[in-house]
Amino acid sequence: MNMRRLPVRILALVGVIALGPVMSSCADAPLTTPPMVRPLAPDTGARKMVVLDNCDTTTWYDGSTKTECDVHDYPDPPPGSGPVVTQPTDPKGGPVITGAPPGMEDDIGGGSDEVHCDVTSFGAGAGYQLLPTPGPILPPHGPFVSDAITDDLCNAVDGCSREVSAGESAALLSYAQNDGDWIYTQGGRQGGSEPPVNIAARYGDCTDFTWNATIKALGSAWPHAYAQKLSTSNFHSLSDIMLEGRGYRRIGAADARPGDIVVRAGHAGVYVGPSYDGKVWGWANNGLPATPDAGNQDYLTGRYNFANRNGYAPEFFRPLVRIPCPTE
Amino acid sequence: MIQLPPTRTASFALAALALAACVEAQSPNAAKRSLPHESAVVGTSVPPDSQFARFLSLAIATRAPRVGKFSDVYECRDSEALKDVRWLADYRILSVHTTGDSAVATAQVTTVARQHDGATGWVADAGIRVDTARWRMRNVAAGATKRWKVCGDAMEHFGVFMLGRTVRWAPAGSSAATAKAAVDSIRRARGLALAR
Repeated sequence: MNMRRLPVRILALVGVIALGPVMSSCADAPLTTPPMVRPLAPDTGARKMVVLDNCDTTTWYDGSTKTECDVHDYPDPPPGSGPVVTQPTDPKGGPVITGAPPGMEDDIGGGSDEVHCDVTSFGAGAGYQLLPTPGPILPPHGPFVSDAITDDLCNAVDGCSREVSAGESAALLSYAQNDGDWIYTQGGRQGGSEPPVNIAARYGDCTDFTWNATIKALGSAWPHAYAQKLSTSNFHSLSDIMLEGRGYRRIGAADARPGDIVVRAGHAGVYVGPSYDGKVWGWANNGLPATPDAGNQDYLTGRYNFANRNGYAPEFFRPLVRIPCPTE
Repeated sequence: MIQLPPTRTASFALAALALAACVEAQSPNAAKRSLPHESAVVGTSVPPDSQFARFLSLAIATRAPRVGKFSDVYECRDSEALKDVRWLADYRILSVHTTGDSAVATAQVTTVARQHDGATGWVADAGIRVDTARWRMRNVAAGATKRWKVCGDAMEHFGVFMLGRTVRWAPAGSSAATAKAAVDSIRRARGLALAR
């Protein structure tokens, strides 16, 4: 057993949805009462331990929460010891997995070996189960049992989601175009003073707008709470598997159709279609967030040209809706 | 006015592209809430290299933040560009090539941190480095006259403005405070005044 493996740089996005539905493209029946265990893959023993720290939990308007933590790799545990999972003890409310041996290094900072993990919990104190990516599901340990699904596991039971139909795409675009004007704000995320995000009142940024249009147009078939909303950075950086776990599939430009989500650099909208003169029109909530040196700027919600500019090209993403898994 | 280097075809094309890009950046939603009005300008136009120097000087990371700080020297602010930020310590202007009302300004910049918008929010990596970067500039109407302004991020795809309510720092032990201390240290070592 390699007890002193070099720490791997891991930057994790951890979505913790308290009492919420499973936020995965893989269909999993909504859980109502923990504990509940649904092993999806055999435990081959190739498990991986990680430690979460520096957790920040944000509660969104819909009551869901999103927890972002640093995830540290550390040496494999002794055979048979299993991970030690505690109740949430992080003062900020995030999940904590203890048991890291001394010498663990804080090595956050990016790198080519980034790994993204999702943690889903059901009810306060129900415990957490951290699943590596890639890797087999960990069996439940001690009294802490939960049902958690990583996206690569969903991939293993492929067939539980599908791309939206052309009609659904059209409905999504129609919703966006008829949603009215939004007030652009990031709620001060960039360090400036501006109104708080309020989706119901149409206060948000470009990805708030696209998330809202998607969930309003697709309804419960697209089970992705606000806590799992993708930022433009997420759209660019997440792997295809992770994207699908968050409800979108990357689509080539040649295959894009109206109603897809179009993202270029730090802006996003709902794809309207191309123009004869080379424009790539999207319908977007346009504006600029407040920063320490500049005020918020709110422009009309409407058509925006996402064509190549300044070295940035548009990317397209198609929502995935849930269907029953073949294995269920 | 300064004597500017001879125009080159490449720079002309680049400037034209830059102008088009800037125009586009402002165009899609001009009606509802227009961009801030230019402040009234009295007197002669300030040369582009001076405006470029003002822009870089204001961007030094130890300057106090202030809404509107860059309004006289910068435009084409673009939400799409909010991806990568450098913490500026010092700069040296290398050239400013103008073509009509467009320009490409080049500077050697010393930075103390690189901040990017990652999957989980802003992350800053501390580290002193020197790069050469280019900015587009435009000579835009400002009251009764025109004013040269830097347009958007560096052509190397980074900005120099402070962004982010929360920034996570790497490596361990680094922080905004240590980055600003590095800025001061660099400026002292180079015999420059501290920027506040």
